[in-house]
Amino acid sequence: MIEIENLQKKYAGNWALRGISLQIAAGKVTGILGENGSGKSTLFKILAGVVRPSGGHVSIRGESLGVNTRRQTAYLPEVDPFYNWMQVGEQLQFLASFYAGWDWNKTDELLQFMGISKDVRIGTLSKGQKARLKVISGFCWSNNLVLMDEPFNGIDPPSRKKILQAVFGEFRYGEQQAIVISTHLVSEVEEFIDDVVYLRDGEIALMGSAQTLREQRSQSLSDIFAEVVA
Amino acid sequence: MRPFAVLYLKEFKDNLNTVALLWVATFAIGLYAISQQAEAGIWVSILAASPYMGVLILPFLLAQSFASEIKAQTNYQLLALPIARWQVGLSKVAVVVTAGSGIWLFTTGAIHWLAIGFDESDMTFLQGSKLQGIDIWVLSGLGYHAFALLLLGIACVMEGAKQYIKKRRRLLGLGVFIACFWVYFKFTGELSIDLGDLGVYSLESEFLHSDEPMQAPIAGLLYTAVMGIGFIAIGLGLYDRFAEVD
Repeated sequence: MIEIENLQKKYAGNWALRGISLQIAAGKVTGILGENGSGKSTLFKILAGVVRPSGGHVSIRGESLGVNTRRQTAYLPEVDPFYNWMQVGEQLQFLASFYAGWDWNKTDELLQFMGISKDVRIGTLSKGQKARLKVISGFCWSNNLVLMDEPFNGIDPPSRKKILQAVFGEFRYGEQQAIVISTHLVSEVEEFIDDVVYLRDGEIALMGSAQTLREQRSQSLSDIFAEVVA
Repeated sequence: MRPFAVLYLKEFKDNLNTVALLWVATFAIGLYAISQQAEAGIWVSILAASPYMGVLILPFLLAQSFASEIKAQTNYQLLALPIARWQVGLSKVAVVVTAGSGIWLFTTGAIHWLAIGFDESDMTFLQGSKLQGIDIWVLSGLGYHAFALLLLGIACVMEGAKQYIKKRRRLLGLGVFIACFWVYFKFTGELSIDLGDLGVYSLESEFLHSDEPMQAPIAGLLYTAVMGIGFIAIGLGLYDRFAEVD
């Protein structure tokens, strides 16, 4: 589904990505794991089309990055990208104007599940509620790819588990939807990840099927993370 | 609703406080000038026309609009939208033009009102001209909007250049500002001759006690507007190609 070849990104003389190549399969949850500064967020930004690569090539479902790939991609950045002066419903309506296949029934279900009202001004939401709103914005329309960059920052641990189970379960769109997630809370997402890519200093340190890696090394993904990346 | 209309509405609401403040201030100045007409004479005309200077604020409004998206990190959302980025920039330009047009509308309305009052009281308006009626609207509208487009065009090129070259942004902005005016003045003479065939706007009123009908430099105003639109196109093109989050 996503083909990444020799992807490079340089910021003001520093390499964020040093030529990584990988494939991300449709219908799977892929975990991008690494320490701060390993290039995770840069990779997400490039896939979302909000940052231009310095070199290499990326295609999503056979198309080079552009308007068409953005049309099928939900990007949940690590920052809060919402307009604080808008109400929740107004913000979602704004996004729905641009993405085909927006499902308002599902939106209402997700809002109810997350405990957020449409009539609340975004500026009054807590950090955790804004994180929940990000998750809602990514899962209430029929996209092919969800990019979740540290999506659970600010959400309390008991709720994180509940939300993870819901979005990777009942709220997921179809069998072909690919989800790419980065988080430092490896142990919490471990059970949901099908494939894993460990990044270190802008390079791939290790990648493969999560199940295979666990069996080969007799370690959890968290332990592998500590050994390979840290 | 079409994506551009959605972006325009979002942008208008985002800048509603500033736009409302400018419009209310302009309206208030116009009303005050009209209320003082009998006592202050010609000076009320100058006071009523003073909001035209608001055109100088417009490029700063545009720059602020781009900068606020970066500061609030809402550019993560905007740049990820499945639309051409020039539409994002154009929606910002359109809202600033709307704000400027409102200022022009209220100011010109006040001046028109004053002109009618002067006419009825046999007092002179604008130092002896009998400029009034539709002429006030046409000339002020052309002049104001041509100058507004030029300034907004330069602001767009500055913004696009900042996206393209991410270093020393203030110095770059100053360089682009000077370069745009250099280009504008370099071609003024040449293109004005070609545009001269478009003629002038002749008024059936005297101006500055001259017996000759006033001839407004329509060609020059059109040249200014065309250059402004050209600069806007260049700036939005750069933004479309190079805009990215930090």
